[in-house]
Amino acid sequence: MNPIILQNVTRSFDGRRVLDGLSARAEEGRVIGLLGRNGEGKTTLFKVLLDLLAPDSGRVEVLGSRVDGSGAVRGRVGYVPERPAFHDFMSVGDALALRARLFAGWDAARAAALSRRLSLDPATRIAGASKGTLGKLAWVCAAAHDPALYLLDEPTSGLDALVRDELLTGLVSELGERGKTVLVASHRLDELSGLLDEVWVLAGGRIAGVYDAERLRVDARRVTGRPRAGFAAPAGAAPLESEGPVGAWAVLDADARGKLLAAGLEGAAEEPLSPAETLKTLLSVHGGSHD
Amino acid sequence: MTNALIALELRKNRLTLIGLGLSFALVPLLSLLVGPRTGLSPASALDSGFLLWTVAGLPLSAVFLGATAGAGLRSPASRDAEAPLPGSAAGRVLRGLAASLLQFLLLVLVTALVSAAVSAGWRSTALGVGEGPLVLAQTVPLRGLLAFVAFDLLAGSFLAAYALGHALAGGLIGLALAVAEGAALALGLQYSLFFPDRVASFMPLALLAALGGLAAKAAAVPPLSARFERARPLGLSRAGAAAFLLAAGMILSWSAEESSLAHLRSSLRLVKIGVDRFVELPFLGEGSPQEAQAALYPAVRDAGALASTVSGGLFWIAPDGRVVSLLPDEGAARFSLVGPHLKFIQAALWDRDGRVLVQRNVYEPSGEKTEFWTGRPAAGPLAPIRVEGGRVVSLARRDGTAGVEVENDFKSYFCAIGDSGLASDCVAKSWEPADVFPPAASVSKDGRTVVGPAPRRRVWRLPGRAMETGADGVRAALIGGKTAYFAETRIGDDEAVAVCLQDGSVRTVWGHPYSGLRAIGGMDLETLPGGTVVYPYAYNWNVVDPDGKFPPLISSKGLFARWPRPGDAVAHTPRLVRRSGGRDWILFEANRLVEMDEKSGAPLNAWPLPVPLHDVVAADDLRILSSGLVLQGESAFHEPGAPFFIGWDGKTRALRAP
Repeated sequence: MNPIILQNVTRSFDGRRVLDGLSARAEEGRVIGLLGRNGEGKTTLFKVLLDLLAPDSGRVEVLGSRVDGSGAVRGRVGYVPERPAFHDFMSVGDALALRARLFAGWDAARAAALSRRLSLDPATRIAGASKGTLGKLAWVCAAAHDPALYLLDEPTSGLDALVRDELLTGLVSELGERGKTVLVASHRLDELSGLLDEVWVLAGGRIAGVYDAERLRVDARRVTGRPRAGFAAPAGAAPLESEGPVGAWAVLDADARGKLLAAGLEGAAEEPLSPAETLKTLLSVHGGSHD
Repeated sequence: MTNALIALELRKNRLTLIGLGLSFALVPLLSLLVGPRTGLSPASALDSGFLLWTVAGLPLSAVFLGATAGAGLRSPASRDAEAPLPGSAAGRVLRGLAASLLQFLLLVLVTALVSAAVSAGWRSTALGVGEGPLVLAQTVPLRGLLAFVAFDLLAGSFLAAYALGHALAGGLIGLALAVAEGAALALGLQYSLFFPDRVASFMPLALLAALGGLAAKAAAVPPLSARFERARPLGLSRAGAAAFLLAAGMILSWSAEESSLAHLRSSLRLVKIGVDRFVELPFLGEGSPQEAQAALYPAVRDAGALASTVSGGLFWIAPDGRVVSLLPDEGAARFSLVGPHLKFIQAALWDRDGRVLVQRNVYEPSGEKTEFWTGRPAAGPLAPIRVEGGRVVSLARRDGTAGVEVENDFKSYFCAIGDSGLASDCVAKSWEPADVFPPAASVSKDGRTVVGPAPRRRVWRLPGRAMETGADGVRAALIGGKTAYFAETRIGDDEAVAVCLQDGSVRTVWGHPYSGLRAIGGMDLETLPGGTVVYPYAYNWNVVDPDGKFPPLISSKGLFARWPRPGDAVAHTPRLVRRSGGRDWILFEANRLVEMDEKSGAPLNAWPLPVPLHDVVAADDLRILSSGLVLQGESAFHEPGAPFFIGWDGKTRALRAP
């Protein structure tokens, strides 16, 4: 079963097509990084998957069920929004208790264990709680019913470095190890690079590219050299910052590397591309830059 | 899950409810503070306070609760907090609405419990405690309707505020919708109340409209929530459908109102000319002042019948069956939001000389007034009653003479009315209301004597003991032009009628074995046009001729032989309606008028009635004139049907206003 199936999904706002015939299919147990510039529709895509937004057209299936407006899918998915929000008249414990009555597979022991692990005090009032507390609470709410699919929309936004590290390297890797499917969009995707199985690049309202993370780690290279007269960088080679007559380009696969060398580069040298540069290159190749 | 989310909604809006509860708690305090300063007693101040809260505070609370909850549901904070929760968008909105309705119900219950415990005035006005079952049956639907409007007010405010995302705007729209719906249903109810038995058929319609409106509002939730929760574009057709559903309650209510109005108007057309039923003569039943007058005064007895419409028309059905206009009909009554345009005859009173006095009530949005008219029907249209230096209050009688009660300088007078309509001979002495005709005579308490009217108070000793004492024990009629008093009397094992004559003698007639059967409200004694007095007995008739002769019993045996009864059932008690030239005219078995030879008892002619007597329910729907009968049946809705005239020759024609 594919936990996520998207076929020709379109969604417009005020005449602007944010999702434009988007198609994608997630394999079970994969940790997928969703990469896209601001405003490319990442949050829209999450809302469509969560049945919070009706697509104008296309087919959306989550965990084997068509998304039909019933909102049932949210009971089976773990969702961490970019800006977690809770009723401010509640305490952390109240928010968890409410969800315990709404989510069929809610595991109170798991919720308690996660809370302890994240140092979340159930007595904390939502009103006046820090962003970090809300973020941690959102993680507990998303994970306590042990869903098969996690949708994480900027899950570390507003969190300090320690918490971010705990969530990303701790929880996400654990989810991956437990065979859960995770779709995560993050400005700090480079921090997750070691955990990702796959990267989807969202550009122009579509999934413009799907990359295997392991192959990227192996094939993505930084190539430096002195361009001969009449040199023109081929498609697939993204220019990097360079000094003097020596130029630097990023390529994502051997084919692009070959073309770059054949285009006339003297004294070429290669080295592995850093995760941050790899992601930047992915966006650059697909028509944008990573903010 | 549903309970958890309703509980969540209740918790979200708890502060609003607490605020409204505190407002209610202030009601008795403010009442006791403000009331005495305006001259009210503490008890009256509490009554007023609680009633004001009920009629104004609760509806406003409904608006407030609905509008704040609806707008709150659209607020970004609420939506963000609830976005990750499972459940449909429509379900979220419906649960929000359900929670608001529950909160309002709680407020209503608290109001009812506290007000009922503290205020006697509230108990009687709001709950109808102390009202008789009949009044209660009429007012319960109205109270139910008002209560429903309050809940509908909440639903309308909630949805409008949700759709607009604005509490104030939503509250105002909800208020407008509910006022429009409530006004329509109240108007429809008002029209239906015009014919009291119409209420029963209007209320299901009103209930249907009200429930339909509420259901339509609920049906508007899915497209609205899809638009505002899932940002699904509505499109022109869906937006139109949603607006239609929101307004459906109003449309249905106005349709119910229009239906009620159309029914009323068609009923008015049916009774374009109707018999006395619509004249609303007070106590016009048998033995009433009118009947008593008819028995004693040939001018009244032979005057024909009056008919009126509910749009101000008054007509005279002459003894020969002609219809003469006395007061012109001014077209169909109209009803509008600002009030009715309505004229109808409130009362008509015959004087002993055959003049008629009429009270016509006029209802206009600007107010209500009363007109008084008089004249002799044979002379055509009536003239207005005029009085110099005073105001006519009502019709009245003094010593059997018809006139009017006049108020002048806080004093009341009885004034006789001349043919021209001018009041004269006003006296400040005692008089009777129009509907009281002084009893001609009465039976003494021991049942042994009949006592004549004042001032002479002549006494007749009965041959036995009267079957009934007091005024109901005796009936008056003219025999040979002189008043005689008839009393049913038990003599040993028999009963007979004692006739007290003006020469002081008592004649015992119409004897038969004692049966123990008694007519309700006294003996049946009727004077027909022409002066024949009829006393029915076991489907036969004893009569007194106008010249004072007592002929033998008129038997209906021949009629029953000609038209045998199925089993022993009698469809309708036969009624002798005319006696002339050795022939009798009898209403027989509900559906025919029979002319019978009196000597042989054989039927000579039989004509079908235009209206079965089953349907002629009210006594006033059958009037005997000297040349025939006026009959008016009832429709299936118990409204007056078209009136007919059937002559003694059996010819039938529908009566129409000229």
